Amino acid sequence: MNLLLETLLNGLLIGGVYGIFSVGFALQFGTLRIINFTHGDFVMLAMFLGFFAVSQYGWNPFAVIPVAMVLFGLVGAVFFTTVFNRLKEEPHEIQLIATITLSAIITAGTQGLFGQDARSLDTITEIFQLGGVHLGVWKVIGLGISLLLAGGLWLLLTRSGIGRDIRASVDDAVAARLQGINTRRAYLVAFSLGALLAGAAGATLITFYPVTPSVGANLLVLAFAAVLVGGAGSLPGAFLGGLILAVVQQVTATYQSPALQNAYVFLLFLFILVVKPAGLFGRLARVD
Amino acid sequence: MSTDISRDAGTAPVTPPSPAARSRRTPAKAAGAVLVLLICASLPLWAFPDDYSVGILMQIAIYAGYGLSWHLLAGYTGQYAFGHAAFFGAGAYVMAIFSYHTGLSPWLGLGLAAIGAAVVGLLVGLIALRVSGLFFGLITFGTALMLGVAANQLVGLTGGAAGLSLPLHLGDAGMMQFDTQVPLYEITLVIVAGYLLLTWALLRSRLGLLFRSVRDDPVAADASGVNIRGVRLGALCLSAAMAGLIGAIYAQSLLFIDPESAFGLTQSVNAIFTAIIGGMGSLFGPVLGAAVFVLLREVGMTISDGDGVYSVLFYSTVVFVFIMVAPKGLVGIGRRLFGLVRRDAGKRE
Repeated sequence: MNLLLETLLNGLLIGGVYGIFSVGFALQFGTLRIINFTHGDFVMLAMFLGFFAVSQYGWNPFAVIPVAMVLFGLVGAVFFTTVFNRLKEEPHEIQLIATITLSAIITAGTQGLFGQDARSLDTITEIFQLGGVHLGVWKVIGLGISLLLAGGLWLLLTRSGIGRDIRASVDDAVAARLQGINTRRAYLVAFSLGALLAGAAGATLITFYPVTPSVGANLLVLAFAAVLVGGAGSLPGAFLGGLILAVVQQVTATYQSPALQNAYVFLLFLFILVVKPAGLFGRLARVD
Repeated sequence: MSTDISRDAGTAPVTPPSPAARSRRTPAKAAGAVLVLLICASLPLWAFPDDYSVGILMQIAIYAGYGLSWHLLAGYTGQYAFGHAAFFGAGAYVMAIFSYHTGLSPWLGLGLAAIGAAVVGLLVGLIALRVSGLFFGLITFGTALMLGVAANQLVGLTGGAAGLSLPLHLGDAGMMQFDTQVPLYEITLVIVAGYLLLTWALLRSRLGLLFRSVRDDPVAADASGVNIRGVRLGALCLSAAMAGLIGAIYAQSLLFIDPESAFGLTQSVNAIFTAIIGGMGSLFGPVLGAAVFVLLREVGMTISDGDGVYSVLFYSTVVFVFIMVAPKGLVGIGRRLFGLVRRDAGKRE
């Protein structure tokens, strides 16, 4: 019983981090309508940043998170201006291949620099007990940070001027432009926010999850599945999708085998697709 | 949202020329294609007789066929399979498992591989075609992932992560093994020629028109009484069978297959690379793209002393720069050049 409870709780704690990078992915996809295959690699790079900052320079993992957010937000802005803003006008297959290639470049470049070995911060192993259940301190902190960021993003999108601009650009870009909204700025901010969330997720994830250069592809699949399970077009759906997938992964890893984690994620995804094609919280009806 | 994606996907123009112009140009084009094919087939005899070069030609032929199978689905019906390796790998594994466990001739395995991959395509389609566009792409992606897990786990059948080595029958044509790679290369060329012919015939048939109607405007096609799901499912199964057949050839050319080379992300991306480098919406695009892709990969291998990582870095960078500069692919560049020439000729008339 304790094992089950521990597994479920661990899933929820890890799921917070999955939730925020899935939200970042959904935000970029929702605004630009481009599948950003580099999103997982951004998380991976932030994990490396966290790893080196903590293990080589003795930073507190806490301090890395805001630095990673600012840094990756800026990198996101650069990526948007140089690549994604141009891609927006291209046909889908060009967008697809461009971001896939970019992802391959980042992955291979990182492999060239750091090798394929897994790295983890095994220094951070503080665990506390709660009614007989063992939980990693950093996983709890990670969930806290994730909820904070998700809440902050929600406030930004619903209560601020730029948030309103972003929502307007998503709903109807032409009408928004006719109203005098600077849609390019809205896209820029949305894309950078997505990258910022990837940075935060990576810097948090490294405290309890090992990093390899190729981990980005796995994370991207998770983000994609989380968005579709939660329902495309819904940011809270993406967050909840991330939580659900993490729980499924943990249960699979505990009771079957870690190798089957993503297979079960995919099965769940297929199941949702069959019984509720719009996703759990999807608002958009789909036409064939 | 999936509708708009499938609708404006594949904007590459496939405008057929007027019937008169078409019939005038077709024999010349066909003769040209046959000539090029014969030259390709004879390359090992006079230009590249050594084993290394024939190996490269073999890879080009394999990726040409693989790219053609992806392009048939994406270019003409607007369905982007991110995980096309699911079908490629299914074919490769059906072939390998069949010849390893039964000891029967791989010639039979070829047919089984195509059928097996088509069945995978059918199963994927039955679920995936409830939705379309990017969702379809993700389901093929997940299928490749799942099949990779299965190939890793079912050790008794597939040899697990270590892969499956096929028994040697060197020089036994009945077992599809020859003294050199040349006969297998010629066989692959025949298959590629068959794919080209099939695509070409499809494009001018009623079915080809249905393909494009489903790609360009599914809603209008539906309203006109087109069975959208049926057309999509048919295209998917055909494309899967083509990829499976080429996958079987791939396994037979190496006499080895493992989960990563069969179902890995790289193998899925390779199909997209070849088709996009060549240029979407053109018949010969994937063939050109395959040649460029394989050569780039070899150059990358050479300048990085055989380090696969730097090779990927090299060819990915080249491809990335290329698509940012020339999004319509090699064929697009060619069209622009020839287009200028033709317009000039028109003025003179």
